[in-house]
Amino acid sequence: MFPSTGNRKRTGESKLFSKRLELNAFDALGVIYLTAGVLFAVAAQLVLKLGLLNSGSCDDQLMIPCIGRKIVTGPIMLGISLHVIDTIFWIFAVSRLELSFAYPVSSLQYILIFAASWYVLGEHISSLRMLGLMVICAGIIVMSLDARKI
Amino acid sequence: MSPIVYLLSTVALVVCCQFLIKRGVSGSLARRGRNKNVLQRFVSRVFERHIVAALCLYAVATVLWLIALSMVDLSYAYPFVSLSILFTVGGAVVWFRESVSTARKVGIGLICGGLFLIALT
Repeated sequence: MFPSTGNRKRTGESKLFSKRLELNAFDALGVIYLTAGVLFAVAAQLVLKLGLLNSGSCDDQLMIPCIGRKIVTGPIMLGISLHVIDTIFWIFAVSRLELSFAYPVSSLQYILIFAASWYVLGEHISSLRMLGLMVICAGIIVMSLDARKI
Repeated sequence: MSPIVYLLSTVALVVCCQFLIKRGVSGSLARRGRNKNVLQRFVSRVFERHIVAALCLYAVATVLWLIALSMVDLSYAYPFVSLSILFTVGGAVVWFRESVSTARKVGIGLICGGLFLIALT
């Protein structure tokens, strides 16, 4: 499942990247960062949704002040912090891995969030929604076929 | 307002952040970064005005995302994140003159198709 990388040189890039010509999909630390990034992203969305569900409805109130009050509650702040951590892990991961590897792996995020929505939140996943998810993941994988030109 | 309005606004703001960050890092690399230590370079990078603007927009996007998420299922809302790929690539072509290959066009088409299916539910 790992794309072969070889010692392909990147051309036409700025001097900033010249020290990192050989990115590798087998970089163990990069894969750990990537996995952590995906897991933190899923956890962040799950915690945010749970926090919103448990803090009552905004139906009969003004939306912005209502959300503002919810943001300062623990679970939402935790969710936002998890999201910040996930972004940092993603930046570390793509600095060590090829995008053509990192991108398709990140589409796992969508699948895991669907699984968590169904298993933890008890949302109903219709077959149309499932089909939509699979088409999106296929799209991300097809895009990544060409990511080495980035 | 319909949750889809909040979802699309979130996507639009996140995409603007990407352009501002790209603009911010491209501008600062040429001018700065010489004769400075790592900390000074980091500070000048983060407090570059485009980056600051991007971080502010990102905070607004987070609030809009929370509003949307409080209205709809997570499994409905999250796939909209993939729409940011479409607009980021589109903007990169128009404003940063980047070229887009056939594989990427096909991929974006699939992402939009999948998202359309989810939006129908």
